[in-house]
Amino acid sequence: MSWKCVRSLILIFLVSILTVGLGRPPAARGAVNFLPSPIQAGCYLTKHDQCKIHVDPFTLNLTPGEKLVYFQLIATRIGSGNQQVIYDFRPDQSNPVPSTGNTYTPSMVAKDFAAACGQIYILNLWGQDTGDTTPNNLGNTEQFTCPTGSYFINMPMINK
Amino acid sequence: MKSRLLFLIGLFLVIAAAFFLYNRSNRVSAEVEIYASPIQAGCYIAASNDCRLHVDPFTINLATDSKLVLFKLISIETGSGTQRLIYDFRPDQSNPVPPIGNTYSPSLVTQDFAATCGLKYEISLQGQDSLDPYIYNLGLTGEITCPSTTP
Repeated sequence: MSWKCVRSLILIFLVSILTVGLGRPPAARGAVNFLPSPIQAGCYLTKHDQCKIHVDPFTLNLTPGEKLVYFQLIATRIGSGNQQVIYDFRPDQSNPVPSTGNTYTPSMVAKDFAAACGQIYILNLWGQDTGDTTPNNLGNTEQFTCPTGSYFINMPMINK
Repeated sequence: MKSRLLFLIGLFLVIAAAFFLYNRSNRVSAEVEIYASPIQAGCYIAASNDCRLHVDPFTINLATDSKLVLFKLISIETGSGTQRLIYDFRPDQSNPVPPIGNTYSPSLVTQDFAATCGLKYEISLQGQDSLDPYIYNLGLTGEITCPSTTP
């Protein structure tokens, strides 16, 4: 092999290294690592004057190799725009989830979440994993309306 | 003279090594037999002035050939440091869990655990197996903030 040929090969090698290096996206640090985690929820009447928000089971999708720092469910009341954390969840300090894989499906709470009857809400799922510098909005529902409790008023009366 | 000195140094080293190994084996036998059992939990508002702590399903990892003696869930209030027992669990006296294997996954409680709205907590899982001389802290959550008002 001639010296010219070797030089050309070295040049091609260096150019391809540079091209691959420049073409690579910026380091993941600081970018959103947490992947979208869809959430679905609704509001229902539990008593004539009490409403609850029910959230369907959901799965948190983390970046491979990262661990959960926390997640929160935030209810936003339409109209006032008032935002309220209704669930604040923290994993184990020493051995955070997931233990394997890159998803975590929290179990459902037993009593569902407080809500005001007659109000309209949006529910947001916020979370952060160990690769994120800030928490991210992972999913949010459409607007849903809590019932007004009219069934109590419409109950048939028995008069003896 | 030189050989005697070497002999004494050698003897000293042998005694020191024996002492170190004896001490080490003693320490190991008193070490924790129950293993880390991660716990994850959160706090939510279930109704006006009714906050609950929800603990995700967890698995207690016991030493091989040991049985569960007890486990407890303790809430630690941030600020005051007040510790409250929120769940005290005991297995069967004659046939404690696990019947086979070396893990036990307790079932979830049906109503979740009482908490005070607006306060911050950490949840600690403490437990002991039949090979442990003491109760150990097996897992601890990060700081959880209970919501303060209905949204």
